[in-house]
Amino acid sequence: MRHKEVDFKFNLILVYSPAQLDLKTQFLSELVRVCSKDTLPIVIGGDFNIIRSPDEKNNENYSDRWPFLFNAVIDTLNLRELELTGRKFTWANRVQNQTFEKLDRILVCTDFESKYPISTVVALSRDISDHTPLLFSTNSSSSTYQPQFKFELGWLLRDGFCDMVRDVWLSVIVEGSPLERWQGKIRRLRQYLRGWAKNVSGAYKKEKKELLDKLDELDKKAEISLLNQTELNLKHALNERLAELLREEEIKWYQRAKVKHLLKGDANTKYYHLLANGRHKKTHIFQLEDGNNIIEGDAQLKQHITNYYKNLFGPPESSSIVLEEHQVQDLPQVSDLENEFLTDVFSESEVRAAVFQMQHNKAPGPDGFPPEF
Amino acid sequence: MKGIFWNCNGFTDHKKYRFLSDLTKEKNLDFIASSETGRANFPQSTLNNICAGRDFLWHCMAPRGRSGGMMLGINPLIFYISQIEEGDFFYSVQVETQGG
Repeated sequence: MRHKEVDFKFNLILVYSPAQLDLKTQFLSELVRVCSKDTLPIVIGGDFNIIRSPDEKNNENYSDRWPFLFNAVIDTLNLRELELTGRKFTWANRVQNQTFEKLDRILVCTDFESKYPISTVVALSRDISDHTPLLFSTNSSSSTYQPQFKFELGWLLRDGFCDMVRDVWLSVIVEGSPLERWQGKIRRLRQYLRGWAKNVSGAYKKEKKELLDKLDELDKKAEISLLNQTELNLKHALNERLAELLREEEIKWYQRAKVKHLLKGDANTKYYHLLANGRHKKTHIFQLEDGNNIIEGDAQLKQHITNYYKNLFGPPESSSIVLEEHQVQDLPQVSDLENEFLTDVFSESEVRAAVFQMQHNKAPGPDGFPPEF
Repeated sequence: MKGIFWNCNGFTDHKKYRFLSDLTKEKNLDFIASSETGRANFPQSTLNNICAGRDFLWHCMAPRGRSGGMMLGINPLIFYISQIEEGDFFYSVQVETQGG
């Protein structure tokens, strides 16, 4: 991914805000001036000496004045703070009853964020200064892995998708119990859809570009001369197709962003995009503490996590306690009637009720199919 | 691209030099941005030490009053620096990333 790094221009800004209150206004106005001077993307980091909300401090001694102004400045400049991992506060004083505050931070503008969507900030240890060093990384050379299969909600909008699924579904013939048949069919479908999606997304990008090119051409022509009827129709058709493609893309990001308060149909691809990236950043694990050891690095982390869950859910160590089956009088018993009910075969309506009570756009199970399917 | 932002609370003792040079080596830092250095400039040998012997370009800003002072080191192999601006509370550097 080296080529991604080439020729990207931005402003790297180091700040040190004065601790004196009478200089803070001057600081904020200079912040606005520096950040709005030109249109280049911005990364701005350092000691701002202002917190943004009451929970960035460990005691109740909070005044809203500077945080309010600071937040207003951040919002107007279209900056976003990179989530800090590893620590909650970045500064502590040296008195007995320590005050902890989050005074240091790194802000980036949205342009920078879309260029390096998985940038992160990690707090290092604070033992030789009263401030924590902030390690900033764009993670541009992150490891690649085979992505897990995920059923995209946007597929349901495509022409012929249902027919295609039906064909694949019926083409597999598996012997055995209903459960085995279901497993076999869903596995085949997953394989098929994975390949299909790869093909389609390539074709999709190509089509989008072609549409945009054609529209652009017609637009340019329209500037010079009036378009005739066929050209107008063509333009109309192209526009419609483009809207359809964009809608599908938007749903894809909506699914990733997992927001509830917006409905399908709001044109907000960029918003979903940023939210989804934010989620991705938040779920990144940098290091784990195991007793006194600190585990770092992707490979070691993977190993550690696997072992941990193997121990947690794996077979228990054999114990000497045995349950005596005939000593049941002192335990509350399940009556015969209840027993019959519990061991009854699942009826179709019960399965149906369980499937349909699942909410839309929730995390899919390990098979990657959401409830919509 | 990797870098560090740090208010070092006075750049005086060896522990702090060591910390930065170790970090530069370990994390492969491309820039070091430090505030409250408390000094107007540093001898070149010290600066070379901080970036673990790499050829960083350094810019220092003198403190005003008792606190303050900033220091910015950038790896010229990663960034092409086109413009530097010094404000009262800022160091703004316009950089362009280069492959490598």
